[in-house]
Amino acid sequence: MTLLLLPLLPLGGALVIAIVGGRLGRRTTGAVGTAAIALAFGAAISMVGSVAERPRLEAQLGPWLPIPGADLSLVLEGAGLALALMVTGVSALIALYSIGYLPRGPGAQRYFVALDLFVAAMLLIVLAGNLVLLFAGWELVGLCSYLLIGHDRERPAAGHAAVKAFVVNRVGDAAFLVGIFLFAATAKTVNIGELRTTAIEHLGPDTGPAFLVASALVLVGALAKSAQLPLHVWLPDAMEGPTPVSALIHAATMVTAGVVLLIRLRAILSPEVLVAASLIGAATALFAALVALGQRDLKRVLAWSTISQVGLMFVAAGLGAVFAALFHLLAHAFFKATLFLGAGAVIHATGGEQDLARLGGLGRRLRWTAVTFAIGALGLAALPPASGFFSKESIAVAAIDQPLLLATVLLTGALSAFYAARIFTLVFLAPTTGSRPVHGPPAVMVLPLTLLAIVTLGFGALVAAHILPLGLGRESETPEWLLIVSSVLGLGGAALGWILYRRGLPQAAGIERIVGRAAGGFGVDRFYRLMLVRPFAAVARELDQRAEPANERAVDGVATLATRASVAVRRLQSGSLRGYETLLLTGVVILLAFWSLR
Amino acid sequence: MAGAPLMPTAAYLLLGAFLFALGAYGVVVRTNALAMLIAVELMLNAVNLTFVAAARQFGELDGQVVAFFVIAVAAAEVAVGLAIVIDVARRRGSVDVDDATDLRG
Repeated sequence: MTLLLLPLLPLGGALVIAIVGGRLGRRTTGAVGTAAIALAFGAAISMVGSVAERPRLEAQLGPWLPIPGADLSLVLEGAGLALALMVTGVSALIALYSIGYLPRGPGAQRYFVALDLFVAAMLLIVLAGNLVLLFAGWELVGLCSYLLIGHDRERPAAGHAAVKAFVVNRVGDAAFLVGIFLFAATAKTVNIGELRTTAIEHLGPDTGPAFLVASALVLVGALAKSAQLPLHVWLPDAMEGPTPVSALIHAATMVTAGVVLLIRLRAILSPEVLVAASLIGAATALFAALVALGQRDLKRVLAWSTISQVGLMFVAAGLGAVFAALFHLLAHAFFKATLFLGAGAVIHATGGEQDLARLGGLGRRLRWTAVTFAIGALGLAALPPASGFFSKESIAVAAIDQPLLLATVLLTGALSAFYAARIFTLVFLAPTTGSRPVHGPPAVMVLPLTLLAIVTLGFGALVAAHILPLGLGRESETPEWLLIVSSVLGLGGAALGWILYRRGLPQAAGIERIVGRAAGGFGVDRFYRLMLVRPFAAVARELDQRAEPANERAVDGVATLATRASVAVRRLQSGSLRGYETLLLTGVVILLAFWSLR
Repeated sequence: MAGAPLMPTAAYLLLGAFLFALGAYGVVVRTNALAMLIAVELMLNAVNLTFVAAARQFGELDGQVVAFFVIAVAAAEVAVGLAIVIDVARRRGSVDVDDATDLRG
């Protein structure tokens, strides 16, 4: 069963590295980790033929939990193969890139164990036949993101970011879990296929209130994992992880999990919840695009752009346009991986610089990185011929009957083009602000970058031209006027970004003042810190100061009591055999007297 | 159990109780480990006598069975006890239990 191999190969890779990785060098460890994912990619490719024959493949590993439907089963249907190919392909390239990116020294073992496990967990989300198994993958993804974001253990910021990502995701996970319970309680199954039948047959258009609540809870889970409003705060901070990890989280394995969930459960979730998903997605897309404008950190721009782009996917998925959502998910995975790996190459080349104010003029010195980054930026700006162009068009078409959503999508597109042009101009074109030694990326980093850039260029056109099927029925074609409007908006945004920033950040003080207003994320983070983190920390501190001494006294008291009691009693242990015998006999006599006199 | 009992059961019980008390006394007052072991044997056999007397009184074999068990256990107990006594004698050069007080609190 090739299907079983898909998650088992990366899992096996993680196990092998965990067991013997300590004795291998950084390169060997990385090679094993990459090979495991690449093999999974090969397994996915080998299934292309069988999927063309049979649209639904199932693999049973055996029973699991005593919940109806909760067995160890994988199912490949609809978007599954396209997603699996993307996850394994992009992850394999990122793993390969990591070999060159990671610094020397220990830590490679930890890194590649978490990375392989991450891929296996994501494949579980894509392929799980029931909600409980899917949730297992869901939790594993959260765990691996925690491990990888906090990879640089010595830096407190990395630890904080990892904890933040984990805790924020926990909110969504808890909601998701309760949602699964509700589905299991009402439909008496957690099997996704059976749930679909139940939702269509028995509940029809007016789904029961239990399904509504369960759907809403599942949506909360998706919002947290996909960093959508109001649970988006963890993603920008997750930039503390190594850059390939950011590429992995943003492109292949984590942030898109919420969209995957919506695509897979589209027929089960209540219509009201889907509408809410598209509205939240639209709000997030616009909000995050505005925040991205003013970021001074290269990776933070990309982080906010991910939140924004995933918002667009939520719009499409909520509108029922799952093909558009899937198309944009894949296109985004390719161009965002390109961008992050390109950013990683820049950071690697400059010895850790990611401040836009201090980067610049790298176009000449990192020519190939600049070319690939430009292709990625084209994708983000949704300009032809990059794949982002075609996928964003399909989302715009899906929203064509909703003027508000359409306007949001188009505006987000223009803003994306603007900040894509901004970062590319500032990093590669703007005048150099200082001469620092720059060293080009090694071959293991160039190869993934190049491959991803090629895919970014070609993928969208191939899908749009009906050459590459994605496994889902596609929605209607793009009308010409929409194509023109969004192209003009995109080109205009990109051109504006280039004109305003071509002389470098110091010469763009005026526009920076405007976009800088949004850079704080509109205070959502501050609000959480003020309303949740601070009070919690205050209570904890208070408890530490007041209750902890009392607690300590209580514990010490028990210890003192025990010591005193032992001092009193130890005299009985005279060590004299005859003394013990006398006591024993006396006791026997007393007991006998007691019983016989009673 | 043919024929009339030569002696009443109470006599056996009294003798058993006397022997038991004698053994217990010996265990407490003697400090020589070997003497204490002999005293313990005396106590065990006092109990055996009581069991057998009771078995005869009620016409059942249970008491005799238990007596055999006690004899077997006593043999094992003496084997272990003597081994300990020999070891103590080797280490300390005496078998006086009042000297062996290493485990006092």
